[in-house]
Order: sequence, then structure tokens, then C-alpha cells
Amino acid sequence: MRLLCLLVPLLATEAVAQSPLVSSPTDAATPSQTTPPVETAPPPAPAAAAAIEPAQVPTIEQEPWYSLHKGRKFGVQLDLGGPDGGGLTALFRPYWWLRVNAGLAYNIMGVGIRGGLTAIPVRWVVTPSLNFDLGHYFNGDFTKFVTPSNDAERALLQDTAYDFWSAQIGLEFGSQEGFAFYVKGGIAHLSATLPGTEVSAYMNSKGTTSGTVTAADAHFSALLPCFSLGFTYFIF
Amino acid sequence: MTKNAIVQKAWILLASTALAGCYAEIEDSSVSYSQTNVCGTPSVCTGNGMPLSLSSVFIPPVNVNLGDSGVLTSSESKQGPITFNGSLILNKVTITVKTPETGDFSGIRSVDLRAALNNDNCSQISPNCKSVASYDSTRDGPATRTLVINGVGANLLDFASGNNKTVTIITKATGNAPAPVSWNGNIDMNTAIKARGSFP
Repeated sequence: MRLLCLLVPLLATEAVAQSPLVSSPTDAATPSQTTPPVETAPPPAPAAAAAIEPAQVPTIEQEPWYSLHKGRKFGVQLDLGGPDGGGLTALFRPYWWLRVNAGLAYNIMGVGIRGGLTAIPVRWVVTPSLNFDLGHYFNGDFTKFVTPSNDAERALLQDTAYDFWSAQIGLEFGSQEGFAFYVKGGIAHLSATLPGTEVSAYMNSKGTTSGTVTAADAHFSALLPCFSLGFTYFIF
Repeated sequence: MTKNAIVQKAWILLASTALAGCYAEIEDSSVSYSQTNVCGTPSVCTGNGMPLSLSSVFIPPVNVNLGDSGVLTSSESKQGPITFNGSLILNKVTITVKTPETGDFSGIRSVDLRAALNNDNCSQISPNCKSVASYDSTRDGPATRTLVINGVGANLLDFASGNNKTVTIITKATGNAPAPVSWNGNIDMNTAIKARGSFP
């Protein structure tokens, strides 16, 4: 029965495509055709009429932007990327064009929390998305990437909490009501405060003067390219 | 605009924003270098209320060794597509008389702190010797046991030399030296550090 439902509109659309009722400009420019097309054309099927007037078919974009989403609202998201790391987040979709996510973040250096917003301006087979995320890593062990030259440098790099935000453009493949895979790219901003005591110890370990260095808290920030890939799955 | 055109423009926007203006930087607005017995042991600072001129020795040169931390890169340097630059701005220098207790800087009229390059003795301002901080008793008020010399925004990294980035600070003064024949004190140089690598 489902197959029949699919085939009827398909065949009807095919019939409309072949019908002289839908004449091309070339057809209109050739008055030499003796038989009026209206007379020979069979009456269109109801499904074909619907195909002729696609504007009357309600689509999700035509719903007012403020209408609450009628489909699945809750789901999960799993992704992996850099420099944000990976994340497992819960999804909530109050409107068809807006998703909210919140959950856990993890990278090789530590664990954290993150949340964000995703806006979907249109829904196509490949759906573009605009994404903004922010989060906080409770600890970051940079010695997994940088080999410290002494204990002071190790202390400075070993336990660094940091914040991040990212703004990304994405492309999503699949069903917005079920499973969708996505790739995203954009920019990410990292910021961290380095304790003054550890900065002082590091600078004193590097200098060889008879003096001593006392430093206030230092601030690290970076604006970097970022990317991520992952999937969303709306459950209910 | 077609779907393909929108997707194509989105990717161009994405690529250009991802690559434009990327950087990493570390900043510390207050890093103080302190040295005790700035006059050396025994003290070689001028005392006994002697008159001072810009050619006399008030305090011996102070060599600040910034160390080879790799973070502080003088002026601008390029490594591939990444541009590194850094600054070590001198905020102020404080000199405090520690011994004897009767010593003070009330006779000092002006102080000019100079950073020297290439072992210049800084007898005159030149490309190898620039003023980095100054004190004027009329402008800043009379000093007592503590002399605060305000920086003029100079980047000390421009004067750092050698592998360990040593900066030589030479102090010139006018007025009268502290009254005690021999005195000694501490120096504290407060700076602001910024190191930045940017791409492209």
C-alpha cells in the first residue's frame, strides 16, 4: 500500500512532465502545430494538480517562526573536533529552526562542560546550520603536547583550566527528525588565566640573574580555526 | 540565489573567517623584577650629599636577565606563515633606601633611566641609548626613602641582547645624592609583558 502511495504521485508527476499542457517556450513559439494541446490532453489526476501547484503544499519553512516545533524535540548529539575536543550533549528543539545543546566536553587534556545554540535557516536535503558553542574545561594538561624543560614549566602547563567559545557554519546530512550527520567549521576562541605564583616560578627558573621575578596572574587567549564532525539523533 | 550558490558562499565565508586574524597571545600586566643591594657590596652608589649630574654615577648599571623563555621575542619575527612579536613595557621603577635608615632621596631633582645597547655607557641619548623612565621632583613631588620613576612606554625587548636577553638599565640623576656616605637599597622594576603569534 505504501509503495502504491509513492508510485501514484510519481507516475502522475511523470505524466504531467510529458503532458502538452505544460508547454515549453519552444512549443509556444511554434504555432505551426495544428492540433490545440488542450483538446488532446487528458484531464489531470488530482495528484498531478497538486504537483502543478507546489506552493500550496505546506512546508516547515512556511510555519511562523514562533510556532513551537510539532515534531521530535529531544535528542542527543555526539561530536569530535578541534580544538574544542569531543562532546556528548543533550538536544532540545523548541522551534524547527533552533536547537539548544548542553552536556559534557572531553579532550585529551581534560574534561569540561559545554552548551550551545544551532540555528537552521532552511531545511534541505543538505541543511546548512549556524552554530555557537561555549564551554569550560576544568583542567587542561598541556604537557601531553609540550615537553616541559623543568618542574616550574611543568607546573604551569599541567593544570590549566580554560574557557572556549566557537562560531561555526555547518552542513547537515540526513533527517532533521531522526538521524543526521554533520560537518562544521569556523573559529574558536580559547582563554585561560595562569596563576601568578606559577608564572613567577617559571620566569625565575628561566632567568639567571641575582634578582627575583614576581608576576601577577597572566592571561592566555587564542583565536584559531576549528572544525568538528558528529551526528544528531532526535528520539522523541 | 540557488542552493548551490548559497552553499558555495557559505564555504568561502567559512574558510576566510577561519583563516583571518587567527592568533595566540599571552599577557601579564604586572611582572616585577626585584633586586636587593642595588649599589653592590660594598656599595658604589654616590652618597654624602654629593651633587649629581647626568655624567656621574648615581647607581651602577642594573643588568636584568629575562632568560631564554622563548615567549619573549624582540620586535617582529616570522616563522613560515606565523608572525611573532612581543613587548616588555616598563611601567615604573621603584628604588628604596634600605640602609642606613637616615638615607633618603629628598635631594634628588630629576632621574633619567636609560636602556643601553652594545655596552653603550649612555653618556648621551643615542640609537644605542634611550630614555625609558623619568622622575622630576617638580612634576612628581619630592621623594623620601622611595623614589618612583615612571616609565615612558618603552619596549625593553628592543634593548635585549644575547641568548638570555639581558637588558642593561643605567640610572642618571641630577640634584644631590643621599646624605649618608654609604647607602644601599632595593630596586623593583614593574613591567607589562605581551607575546603574540598571529596567522597569517
